[in-house]
Amino acid sequence: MTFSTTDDPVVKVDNLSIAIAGLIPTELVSNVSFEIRKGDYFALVGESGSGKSITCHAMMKLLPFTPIIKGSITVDGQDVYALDKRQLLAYRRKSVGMVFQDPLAALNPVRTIGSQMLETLRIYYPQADADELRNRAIEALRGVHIPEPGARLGVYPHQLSGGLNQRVMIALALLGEPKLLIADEPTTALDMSVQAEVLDLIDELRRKNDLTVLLVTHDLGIVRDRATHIAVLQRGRMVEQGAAADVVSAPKAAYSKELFEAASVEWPGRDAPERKPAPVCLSFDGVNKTFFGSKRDRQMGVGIPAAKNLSFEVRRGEIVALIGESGSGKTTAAKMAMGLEKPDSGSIIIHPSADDVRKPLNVQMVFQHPRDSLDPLMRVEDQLHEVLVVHGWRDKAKRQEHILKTIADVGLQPHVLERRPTFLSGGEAQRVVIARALLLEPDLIIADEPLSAVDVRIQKHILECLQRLRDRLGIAILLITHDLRVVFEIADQVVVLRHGRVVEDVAVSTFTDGARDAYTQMLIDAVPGKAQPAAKSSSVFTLPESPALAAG
Amino acid sequence: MPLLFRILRAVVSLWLIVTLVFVALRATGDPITAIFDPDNTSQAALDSYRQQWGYTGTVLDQYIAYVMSLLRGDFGYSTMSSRPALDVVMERLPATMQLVGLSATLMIAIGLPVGTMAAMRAGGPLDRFVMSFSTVGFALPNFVLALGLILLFSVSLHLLPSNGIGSWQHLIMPVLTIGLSKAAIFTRFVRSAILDTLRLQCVVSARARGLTEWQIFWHHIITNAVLPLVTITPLLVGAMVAAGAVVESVFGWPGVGRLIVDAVSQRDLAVLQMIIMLIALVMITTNLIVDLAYARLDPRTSAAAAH
Repeated sequence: MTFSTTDDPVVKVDNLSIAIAGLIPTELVSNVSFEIRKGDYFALVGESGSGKSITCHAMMKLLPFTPIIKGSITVDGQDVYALDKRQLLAYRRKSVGMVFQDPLAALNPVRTIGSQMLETLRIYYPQADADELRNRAIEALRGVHIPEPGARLGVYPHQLSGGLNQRVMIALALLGEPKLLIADEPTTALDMSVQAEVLDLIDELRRKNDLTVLLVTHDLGIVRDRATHIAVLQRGRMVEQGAAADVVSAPKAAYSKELFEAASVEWPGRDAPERKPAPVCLSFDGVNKTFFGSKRDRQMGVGIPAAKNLSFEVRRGEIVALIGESGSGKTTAAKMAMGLEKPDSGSIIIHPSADDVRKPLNVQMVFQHPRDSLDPLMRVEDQLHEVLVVHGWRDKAKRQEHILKTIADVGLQPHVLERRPTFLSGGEAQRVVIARALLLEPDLIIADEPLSAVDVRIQKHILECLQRLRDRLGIAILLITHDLRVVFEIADQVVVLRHGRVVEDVAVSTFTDGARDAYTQMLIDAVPGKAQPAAKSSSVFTLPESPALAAG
Repeated sequence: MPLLFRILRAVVSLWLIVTLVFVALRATGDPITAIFDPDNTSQAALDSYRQQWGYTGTVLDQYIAYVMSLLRGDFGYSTMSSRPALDVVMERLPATMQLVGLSATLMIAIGLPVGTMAAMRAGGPLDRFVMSFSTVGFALPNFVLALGLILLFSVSLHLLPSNGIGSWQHLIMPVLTIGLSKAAIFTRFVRSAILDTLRLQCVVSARARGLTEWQIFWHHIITNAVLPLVTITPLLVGAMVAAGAVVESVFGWPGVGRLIVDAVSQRDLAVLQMIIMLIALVMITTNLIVDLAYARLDPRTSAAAAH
């Protein structure tokens, strides 16, 4: 252990390689070096599988497997892999705090927030009595702006929203007043408007407590807004690092360029061609749906409204984006359109196809989690064949030909057909699911958050793929998403839902014109990477021309 | 009220069991001719027995008479011993409860620590031993284990009595037989419950906060791992009563299990019926308690019921 002077970096990772021990060791991180100085806001960026999460788990000595570590990690003057058990505990308590991706999973579900805080506080204040610990816990919760902190102590994690849970996690991580906060995708599991709040909180704590922050993320929007330094990882190797302004305005590595390009917000242009009104293929008319937790709730009429007088239309060949935060009723609307849920009242009409009234409209659904909607034990090929067999395609050669064509449409190589879903990447799995929906040449696809499980670059590919299919086959798409960037990218029409009500139903080209509904405005403001100073000079980011947004 | 609802559900289950017992016993032929040889018994005697035990009239009449007598607390007479069936079963119950209680204690005393240690050092020597031992444990039929123990402790070593009841020495082998075989299964359950919990993010995050392994184990691992175990334990205890049928016969243990065997072989329907209802009652009550305990242990379930 060396004595640290003020000039020493808080984190010094030197030529770090991490491999899984085994017959043939698999190297996950190779020769990564970086330094984080006091007060830095250091962002480690990369797609899933790039080794960013593994690197920061290695910094906490928390890897879920037995690693072979080469190189060194020095944090707060301590060589992490030279610490003995007692020193490691002290290191985790006093030097570093860590916040995880899913706050609900990171808190013990069967114990109250209070008991988990007190347990941690007792480490730092072994002499304190119950009252003092309680007061400190309340103080800590107040520090992360949790309203009514005293009342939250007796509450279980599942009774709090994701945003509040993440605040609790941050409070817990900072109880020992560490010098470094490692935040591993801290906002990925949260709604977009909550994301901004949590990031603001981290910013505030960083300034107030002189905290050094290491933020791990795949979301470049976040990074552009807040980081002072950026390091980009690709397949376990560092491809670029430097001051944030430099990396953002002039990324050197081809990979980072591609990443930044893929994550750019294309603000909708208003020169979108006037579209001819096509015939309607799906319409919601005054649909109501309320969920009740129990029979008693039903009798008392206290339920969660998922749809209130919900009315909107999807026209042929049109991409309609249904947006709103979790709990706004988006998924329920999709399920009702598919007939998987019954509305309490109102009508949902799937209109027959225009050229042949007798032919029913073919509707297909793409579910949120691609891996969960594929049979893990069946080869992709067999799953695709099954769909066609059910619909009476008897000729195997014809089926195969059709499948190969569809697979190519979504930009997949034929070799994925041989695999089982476990061996597909997230993006491949998602495209297989889309291909499965396309096999029957549907007129309407309902896609529930088709992009939430995949990385930015793959998002781009899938969006392009959907757009191409719309242009070529005239498929209508009802796209459910919480991400406005996706909407700007491909949608023609936006329907904003809040608490089951339509608060906005406009063409995308006019969506950002002036402030409309306050809630919509909030969603627009929450788009990360929007108010970026460097963006003006960079051709990559198209800033909105609307005065309201330029001011905000 | 959820508690009232649960109790109501338990009552309905009990009624279903009672009805099934009725159907099952009637479906296996005329009980009277099964007990008495019709060739050597006068018709008048048979008829009077029919009258006495409620085997007259239509099936519905019989069913109503049967339910009514159950409600009055009249569970019929044992044909083996000409005493009320309830008394016959009740006098055997303490022996079985003693056996099952001690076996369950042994199962938990072995399963919890061994399963936990195996999980904490997954892939280590203890874990490998536990996994192979438990495979042997539940592949081995009870009577083989029982006979093996008798051969070792009674025949070769002359340490323990092979048969009967009375002293604590008599208890050792039956308890070992049932307890060890169920411990083999229970240990595996404990191991996998702990392994699942170790992977939980909340355990990783507790470790990241610098909690000691002791705190992590008692506050975060056990609290979560206990949930699946609460569900499985009563099922295993129920299975012990069933295992008793074989083990009690081997060791001459005068419990309910051996009574089942006797009652079946002598077609003592009233006793059989009594035992089935008793076991059903115990299982239903246990499940009720487990449901309530689960709601207490896992706040998420009680919240789901309250909202």
